[in-house]
Amino acid sequence: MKKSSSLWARLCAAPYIVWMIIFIAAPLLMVAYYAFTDAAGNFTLKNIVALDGYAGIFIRSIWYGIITTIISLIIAFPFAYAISQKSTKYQSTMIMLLMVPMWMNFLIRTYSWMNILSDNGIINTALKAIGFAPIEMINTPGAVILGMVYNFMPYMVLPIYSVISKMDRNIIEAAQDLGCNKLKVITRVVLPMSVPGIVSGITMVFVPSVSTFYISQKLGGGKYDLIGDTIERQFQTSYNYNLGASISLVLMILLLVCMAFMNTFTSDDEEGGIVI
Amino acid sequence: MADNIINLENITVTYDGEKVLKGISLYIRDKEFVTLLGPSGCGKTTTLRIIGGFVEPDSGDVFFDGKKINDLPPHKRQVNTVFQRYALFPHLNVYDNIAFGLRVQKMPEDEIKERVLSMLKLVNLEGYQRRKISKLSGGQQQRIAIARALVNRPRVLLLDEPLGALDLQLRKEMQIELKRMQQQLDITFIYVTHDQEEALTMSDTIVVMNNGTIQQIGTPEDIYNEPKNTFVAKFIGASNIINGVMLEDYKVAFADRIYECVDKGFTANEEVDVVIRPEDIKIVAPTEEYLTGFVESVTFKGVHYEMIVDSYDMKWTIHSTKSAEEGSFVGLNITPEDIHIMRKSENIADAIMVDNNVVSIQGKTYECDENSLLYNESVEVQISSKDVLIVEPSDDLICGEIEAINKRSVFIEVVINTGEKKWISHTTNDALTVGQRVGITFDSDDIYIIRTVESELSATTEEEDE
Repeated sequence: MKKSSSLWARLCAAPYIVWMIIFIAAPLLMVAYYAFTDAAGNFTLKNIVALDGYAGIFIRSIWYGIITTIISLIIAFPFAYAISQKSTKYQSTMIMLLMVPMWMNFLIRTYSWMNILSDNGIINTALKAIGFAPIEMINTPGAVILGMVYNFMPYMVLPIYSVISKMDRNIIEAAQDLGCNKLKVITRVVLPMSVPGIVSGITMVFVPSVSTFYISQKLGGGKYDLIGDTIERQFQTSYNYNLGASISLVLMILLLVCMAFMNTFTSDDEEGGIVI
Repeated sequence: MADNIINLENITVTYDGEKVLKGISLYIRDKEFVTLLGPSGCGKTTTLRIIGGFVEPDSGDVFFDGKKINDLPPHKRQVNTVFQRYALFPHLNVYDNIAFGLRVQKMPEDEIKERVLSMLKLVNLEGYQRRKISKLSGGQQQRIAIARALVNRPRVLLLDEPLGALDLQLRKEMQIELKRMQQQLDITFIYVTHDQEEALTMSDTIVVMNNGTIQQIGTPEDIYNEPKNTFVAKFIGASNIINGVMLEDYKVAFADRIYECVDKGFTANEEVDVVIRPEDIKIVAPTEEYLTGFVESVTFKGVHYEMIVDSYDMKWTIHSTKSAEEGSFVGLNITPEDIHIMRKSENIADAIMVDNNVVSIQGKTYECDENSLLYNESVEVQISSKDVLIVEPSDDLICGEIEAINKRSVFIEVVINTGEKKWISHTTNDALTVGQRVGITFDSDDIYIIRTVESELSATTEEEDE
C-alpha cells in the first residue's frame, strides 16, 4: 500500500521534475559550459580571468543595490507599520494602490520616469514655467537609484506588512502594559518581531537591484553601466556568449552567498515572512 | 475610603453604537482577590481594560489611590496585565521576556537578574531562563506571563481569563497557585472569568456582571447563598427558581404548600422568587409531609447524581450522592435555611425577537438594543421594576389592572396584573388607584435580553476565545 502511494507521488511529481531539468538545470549547466569554453568549444579559463576588467561594474552594481535596499527599507518599514494600524478597508486600499503600478509593464514605468525627469520633462517644464532654472536629473546616479527604488520597493513593503499585520494586538498591549511608550513599542517589539519580513524584503529588493538592466540605460543615459546591462550587451551586441555566461555565473554565486548570509538572521521556527 | 485602591464611578462605554458598559460603579479594596464574573459580552473584560488603560470610558471616572487616571496611558499605570493568550514576546527567551519591563525602566542588569530569578522561583520554573517561548507548554507560558507581569511589582495585577486555554487538571492547580501568589505577594488581583466555580474557589469578592451592568457584589458565600436576582442564581449554578408568595414574616407559600423560611421584611402576600439549590433538596420517602413527584431521570456526574423530579408542573433539579431509581415516587425535603427568598425587583418575561432591535413581549412589540440574535429566537427579557413605566392604556402596549399599591420608603411599588403575568413597577406617581387600567412601556436600553442560560453557557466557551 505504502509503496504504491509513493509511486503515485513520484508520478505526480514527474512533470515538475522534467520541467526543472529542461528549464532550470539544463540552462544552468549551459551557462557553466559557456563560461569555461572558448568560441570553438575548447576548455579555457580565459573568460573568468577576463572578469577583472569588469570589477568596477560589479562593485558599482552591488553598491547601487545596497543603497536601493537601504532606501527601500527606510521607506517601507514605517509605511507598512502605519497602514497596519488602520482599518482593514484602509489597509487593503493602500496595498492595492501599492500594487497597481506593478500591473503595468516594467519598461513602460521606466519610460514614464524618463518623461518626468528629462531636461524637457514634466518637472523641468513646470520649473521653467514658474521661472526657476531647470535641474539636471536624468542621466545621474540618483535617477538610476530612484528608478530601482520605485520598481522594487513594493517587494520590501509586502513581506514586512504581512508580518506586522499578523502580529497579535495583545503583544503590542503587553509592551505598553510593561512600560513602553509608542516609540519603544516599535523599537523593542514591532521591529525585532518584523525581522523575518525585513530579511525576505531585503533579499527580494537586493537581488533584482544588483542584476537589473535597462533602468540604468534609460535613466542613467548609459553612463553608469551595471552588471545586468553588461551581460545583456555580451549576448545582444558583442555575441560573446562565453564572457556573458562567465559574468552571469559569478553574479549568481555572489547573490547565493548574500542570500545565505541573510538567511542566518532568521531561524526556521520563526513565523511569517516570504521565503524565496 | 482610604483602603480602596481603585474606584470606578458611573462608567459607560459604547462600541459601534452598542452600550457595553451601562454606568457601572465599583470600588476595589487594596490587597483583595476580586473576580469579575459573567457570561461573554457582559462587559467584564472591558471593565478590566479600563483599569489597565487600554479603553477610555465615554463617561465616568477611574480613580487609582484617590487620583483620577482617566487619561493616563497604560505604560504609566501601576498595574500589570496577564493577557488571555499570554501575549509573550516570541522573539525573546524566557529570561528576556520576564526582564522586559525592568529593562524598559533601565534598571541595572544585576538587579534585574536577581528579580527575574526570584520570579522564576515563585512560578516554579527555575532553570528555564534560556528556553525559547515556542518550546514551552501552555501551562508554562502562562506562568511566564504571570512572572513577566509580577516582576514589575505592580500594586494591582489584572488577569483576563488566564486559565481559559488550560486543561481541567492544570487549571485546578493554577487556581490554587494563583491564590497562593496573591497571598504571598500581598497585592490586589483583579481576575476576569466566566467560570463560576473558578470565581467561587479563588475570590475574596465576586462581582457578577450581565449586559453591561453589575448584578451583585459580595463574598463567594453571599453570592452563592443569597443571590440577589434570578440571573445571579442561574449563572452561579443550576438552581430551582419557583414563583412564591410571602404570606408573612418567616412564612412563604410555593408549590401549593406553606413553608417556614428565615426571611422577613416583605409586605403581606408579596410575590417573590424562591431559590432552592439542587444540593439542598433531600430525597425522602413520599409522605403527606413533603412535596412529592416522580423521578424523571438520573445522571451520574462524577461526585454526585443529578436527578430531575417532576412535581407541580416544575422540573426540580436535585444533586445527591445517593441515587434514586428512575420512575420512582419520592418526597422532597426542603428545610427553612435552604429556602432563599428574592424580591421580584426584576421583571422577567418570555419573549421573542421579531427583528433587529425589536422584541415581542406578551404579543406587543417593543424596541430594544439587541441586534445579534436570530429572528424568532425565544429569549427572556429582564426589566428592573424602576424601569417599568406606567402610562395611559393603549392597544400597542401591554395593559392590565393595578392589583396592589405598596408604599415603600422612597418609591411606590405597583403590581399590575396583565392576565398572563404580573408586572411590578417602582414609581413615584401617587395618583394611581387599585383597579385602574394602565399600560406599561420601557425605554429601549432598559430591556435586557437574556438568552436562555443553557445556550448562553455553551456559547460562552466558544466566544471567549476571540
